[in-house]
Amino acid sequence: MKLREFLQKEIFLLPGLVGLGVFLYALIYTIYMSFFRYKLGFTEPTFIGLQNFVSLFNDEIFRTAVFNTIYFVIVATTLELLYGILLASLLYWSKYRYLFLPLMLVPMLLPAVNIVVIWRFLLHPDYGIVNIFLKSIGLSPIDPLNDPTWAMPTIILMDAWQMTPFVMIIILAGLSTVPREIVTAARLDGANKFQLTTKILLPLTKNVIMAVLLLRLIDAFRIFAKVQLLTRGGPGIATETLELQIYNRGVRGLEIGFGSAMSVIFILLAMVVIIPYMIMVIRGWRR
Amino acid sequence: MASLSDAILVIIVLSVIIPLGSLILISFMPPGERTFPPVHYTLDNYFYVLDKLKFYQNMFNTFYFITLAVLISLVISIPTAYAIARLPINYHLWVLTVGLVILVKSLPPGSLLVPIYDWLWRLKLTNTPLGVAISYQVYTLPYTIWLLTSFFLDLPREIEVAARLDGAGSFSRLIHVILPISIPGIISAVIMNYLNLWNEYMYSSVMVSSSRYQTAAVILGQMVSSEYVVEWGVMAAANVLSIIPALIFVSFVQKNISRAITGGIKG
Repeated sequence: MKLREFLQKEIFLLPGLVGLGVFLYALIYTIYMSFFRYKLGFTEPTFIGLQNFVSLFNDEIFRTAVFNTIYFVIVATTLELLYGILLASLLYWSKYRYLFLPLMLVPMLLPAVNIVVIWRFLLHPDYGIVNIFLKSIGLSPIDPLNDPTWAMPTIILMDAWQMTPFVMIIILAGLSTVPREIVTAARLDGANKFQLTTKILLPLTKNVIMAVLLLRLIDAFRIFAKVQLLTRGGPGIATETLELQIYNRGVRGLEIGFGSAMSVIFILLAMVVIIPYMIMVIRGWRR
Repeated sequence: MASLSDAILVIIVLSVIIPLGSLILISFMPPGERTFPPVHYTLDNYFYVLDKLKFYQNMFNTFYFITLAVLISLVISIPTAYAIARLPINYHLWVLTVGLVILVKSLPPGSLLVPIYDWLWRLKLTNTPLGVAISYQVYTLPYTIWLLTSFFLDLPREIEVAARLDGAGSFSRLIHVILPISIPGIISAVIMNYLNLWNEYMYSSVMVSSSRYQTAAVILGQMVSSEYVVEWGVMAAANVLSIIPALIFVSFVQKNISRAITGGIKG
């Protein structure tokens, strides 16, 4: 009887559990390997205890990468959220919403590599449009990608240029679900559009805003292609991030043990935003 | 009154159109020129990219790898998503499965790169289409389960009742009742996977070292990193070409795009 029930229900989960189980195993394997010295194709794994972690803590480049990753996640997400709320509110009241909206979504739909190429063209020190414009109004040209102070803010700006539409469209969809009667009633009571937006519409959309915040936080950890192709972590180590370190020193360097230790720290950081998201989805899907 | 906010919106729309428009203009710029806007216009860059660099082969590679990856993911995801959304499974097992889906979906792909590269290398699967497709499962598998679950959850409860009263088991209900009405959802899941992976760079560049299996994104990446060797026009033309399929994918899922991104977050 038990088997019969299993064949009717739980067996359907099996393919997914096996497939995802491989990744869970990869996670456990990563933690295990972080205690080994293991150069792929050169040495067999040797147990070295916490030595990988000790080297990481004393490694200035790695510490910078950790700092940059956290800095990017916090600043980019905050910027995109605030800017996205602003744009969604403007669009909500705009008569030309259907004209503006599709155009504004384009960057979000373009792959990261294309975005990088476009920004390289824009910011080229000699031929970029930005500098052509600056020179034409008599200012001196800029080269932010080769400036340690400005490289990271430029990457954040580029990410915001691409991903703010994502925040915007979801919040706009949330605003649009607020019943018309509430809006009409508040208008009759003399509320202006600004009051209506900040006091009524946005508070009613707070679940959506929370969800989009979590999604952006999670996504902000994965800025690999943009940074790797735009600055390669430079100038110097100004834009090193955790994914860049894992890719370049771990995998490209074939240092599986050392790379695993970096991944462990990376995963621990990411879990801070992943766990609330897991709870949110489990609550939302429970029938 | 409304003009101030519309003016702001116009500026923002321009900030999108000008960079994209300049990319298209540069793609018609003759070799050797580096002024903007270009003085002369030519199609040479497109001929060079397609004829000399055989960029269409790289684009085909991308397409081929994603297709393999999506097929693998669909076979695994359909029954799993059906069970999560519609079968009365033991609660703890349910939470475990959903938690695992969200965990793998949310982990940064870079955090799993080391073990996956290690294993595929030792299985001699690097530099093979199957190996790349397996590595792509990091993206496609949790995403497909997640998206299909949200589609299956939204189908009305009643549709399975008649079939159940007729004595149909879960498997036959999935095949005969759920799947036929879920075709649009499955198609959006497939297309969203193409869109998400079209310019995947990290795994594609690590798993493949032979030029034969290089994807379009990796070639573009190489061009960007050797900016002073490659003509701007050539780089821009390759870019425009690689954007076209992405836009085609988008046009297919237009109606479902916001739900495909959010999985139907409820307010």
